[in-house]
Amino acid sequence: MKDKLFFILKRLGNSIITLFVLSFVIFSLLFLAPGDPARNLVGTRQATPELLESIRAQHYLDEPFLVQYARWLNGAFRLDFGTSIRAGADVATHVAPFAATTFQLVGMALFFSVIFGLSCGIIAAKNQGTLRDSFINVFALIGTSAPGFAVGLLLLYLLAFQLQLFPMFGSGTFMHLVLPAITLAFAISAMIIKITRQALLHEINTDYTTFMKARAISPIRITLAQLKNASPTILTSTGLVLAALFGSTVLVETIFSLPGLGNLLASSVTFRDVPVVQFIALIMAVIICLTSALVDILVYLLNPQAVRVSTSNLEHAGLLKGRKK
Amino acid sequence: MKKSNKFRHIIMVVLTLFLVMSMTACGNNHNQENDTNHTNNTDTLNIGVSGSISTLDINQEAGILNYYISALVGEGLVGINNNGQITAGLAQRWYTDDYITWSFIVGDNSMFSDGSPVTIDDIIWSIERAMDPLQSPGVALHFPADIQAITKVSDTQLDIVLSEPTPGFIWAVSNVAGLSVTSKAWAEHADSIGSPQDLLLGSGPFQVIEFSPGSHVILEAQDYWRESDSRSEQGNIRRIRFDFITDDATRLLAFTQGSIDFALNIPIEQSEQWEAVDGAQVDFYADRSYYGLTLDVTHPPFDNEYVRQAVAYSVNAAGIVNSVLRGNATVATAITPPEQFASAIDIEEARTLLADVTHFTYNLERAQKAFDQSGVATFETTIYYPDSFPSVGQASLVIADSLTQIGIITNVVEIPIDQWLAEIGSNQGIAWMILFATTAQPQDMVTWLLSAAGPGSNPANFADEEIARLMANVVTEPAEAGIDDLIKAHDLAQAQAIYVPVWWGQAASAWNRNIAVSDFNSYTLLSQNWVQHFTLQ
Repeated sequence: MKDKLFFILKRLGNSIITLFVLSFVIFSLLFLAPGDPARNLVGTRQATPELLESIRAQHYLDEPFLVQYARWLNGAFRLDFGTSIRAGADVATHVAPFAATTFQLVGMALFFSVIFGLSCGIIAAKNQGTLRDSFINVFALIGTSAPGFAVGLLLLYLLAFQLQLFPMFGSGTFMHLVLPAITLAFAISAMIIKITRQALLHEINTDYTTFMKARAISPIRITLAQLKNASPTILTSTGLVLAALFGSTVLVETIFSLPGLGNLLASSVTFRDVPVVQFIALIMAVIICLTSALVDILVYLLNPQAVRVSTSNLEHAGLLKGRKK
Repeated sequence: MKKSNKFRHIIMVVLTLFLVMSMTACGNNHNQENDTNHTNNTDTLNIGVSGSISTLDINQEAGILNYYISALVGEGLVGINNNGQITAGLAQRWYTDDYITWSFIVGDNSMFSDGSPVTIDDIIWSIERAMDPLQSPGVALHFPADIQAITKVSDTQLDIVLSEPTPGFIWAVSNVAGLSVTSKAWAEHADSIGSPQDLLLGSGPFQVIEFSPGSHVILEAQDYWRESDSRSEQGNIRRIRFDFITDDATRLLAFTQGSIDFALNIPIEQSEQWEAVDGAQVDFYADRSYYGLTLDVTHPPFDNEYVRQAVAYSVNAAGIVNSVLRGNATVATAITPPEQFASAIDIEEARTLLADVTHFTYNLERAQKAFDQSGVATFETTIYYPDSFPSVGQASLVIADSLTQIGIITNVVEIPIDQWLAEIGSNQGIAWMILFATTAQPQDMVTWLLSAAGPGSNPANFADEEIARLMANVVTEPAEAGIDDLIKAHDLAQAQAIYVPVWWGQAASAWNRNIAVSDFNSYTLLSQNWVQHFTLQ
């Protein structure tokens, strides 16, 4: 129990350090990027240097880099992420509806990908070398190689324009999210199929599977056991997939005109709306770090032996000091 | 048996999660319109735009789309008509004897969309807010810095006193420049004016009933509008929905399907595809934009007038308009396009005046001769262009090719638009200037470019006492009287090849057979109650 708690705390601690580093790196990159938010607000119109200066001062853009970062960090601790330079509104309030759209989209895409990817991966592995396996492999190949925008436009044309089953653009209802989610899920599920199939094939060829079969244990129980043992690989990969999903939303949100984080991030970067960019980056970093941590913890809880073995290997190699038993 | 139950439980949990997620997706927006049946509403005009807005408040974000919406929702003391001329807004009358003291007589029948009356206090509060650059970075620059007093004379009159005669001041209090009046009492309780939580409150013919940043805005006719009785004569549109469709292919599909009736600023290179849609009409119109080169006189060797002339002669404006822009633009002979003069003189007259302004027609022999006369050896330079304007990039390549032929080795580099904006006037040598006018004030596009007080005062960093004097006259003379000085100032600057006009832009809009559009031009969507130019069929 102590071991488990120590592992979870250590993993969460790592995530917090990663978040700090990420926030600093993103802030630095935005600071170094060329451009002037004050000029963006005024546009190609005559503006006195005093006017530009006062706008910069209002958003603390005239302060030294470290002071600006410290101010942001201090606000972030109090859950005050500042004011959007472009919208003039509280950042968290401004970003919230965009975040809700993206979370729903990513959640739905992840659900489709996991259900479809896992099922197809299991079917392919259980039917290795058959026509079914080949068909699923071909699908996975197309899924991983087809560009997202092409899939999106094709779905849009066929299902929204020709068959009029889905709305073509906008947001607000469940139906608005289905096509973008399928577009996202198309590539992601292909990855999950490949990973699941490979991991399960490994388990199928193990001695314990042969013994279970010899003892006439039901096929469902055998599959469940194989899945449990293959779960570290599948879970870890699915965690990584979530990060990829967030990265892919920009394109999909543009094609389907969804007001999500990807779209907002792209326009905010162009406008150099630093507080908004920083907040979105933080949200994404938190999700990716938390997912990664949760996956690690879940893998540990499902199979503590695997982590102990890897830890003991590291101790043997002298990479972990001071934790000798 | 136990394992099988566990498996079933897992499936149940997953399905429940999916159900909850789906319901959340639907439930979050239960009060929103069902987007799938746009065209079923017979009183709704559906407009698809390629851009997006993040706030409805022009004081904060003064983009052209914000102004289009504000023109229906809010009112200034004055507005403009479809020809760009000043017309009554909240003020029914106004007068000034000396262009210093301005008196505005406001009617007592104007109401905000919540039913409260528009008072002089609301107007004064709105003007003071608009003048404050911290509260209103988008519009504060329209107001002169020398406003001495804003006084409530009576319940129907306010006076504004300036320190110098400024005939153009009337534009500052128009809703196409600096002023959209809102309720003081309402605004003081709003956390963020123009956000989805605090939708705009104005006294225009429409009110905002829904705003989803990045997605859409819905306006609805408001019954408290002082001219609501005349609505039946003006058309049958009760609702206007703006959808922000950022991908052009998606927008074309939506237009073909009939989900949008009117598309603003369609890509000119795709106009044939739009025209091919059954029942569609595509209209090209001058959008009062200017595209040209600025040559920084403080950046050697562009401080040499012969070098600048060599550059000016190397710009094949006609070739760029015909090949790069496929004829969908006009070769510019000056900075300000003729349509910008519409509020003061006839457009044809303006066209004639502008054709006579000194400009350099493409001639590589003359370019070479000017470059040889400059005494400057072959040198290398770079033209930077903003990434949002690919046609400007193509035009840059054409210009670079000509310049390289005469010995000015020219590179072309694409940069992000915010970097381009930030670097205007920062000693670059050759730089692109792209301007879009909002007000119909004739000098609107050159107040900055021809502010000839030396480095920092204009993008070319030039100083010229005569141009400065002429522009000072333009500010203090009534618009009609100032035209000659304005044209002369253009002429002097262009004769020195400080600015090299290349083209005046055109925009294209498309509409389907569901609607009829009349007298559409670059002023239409800024004019008062512009919906009267649209009829649902």
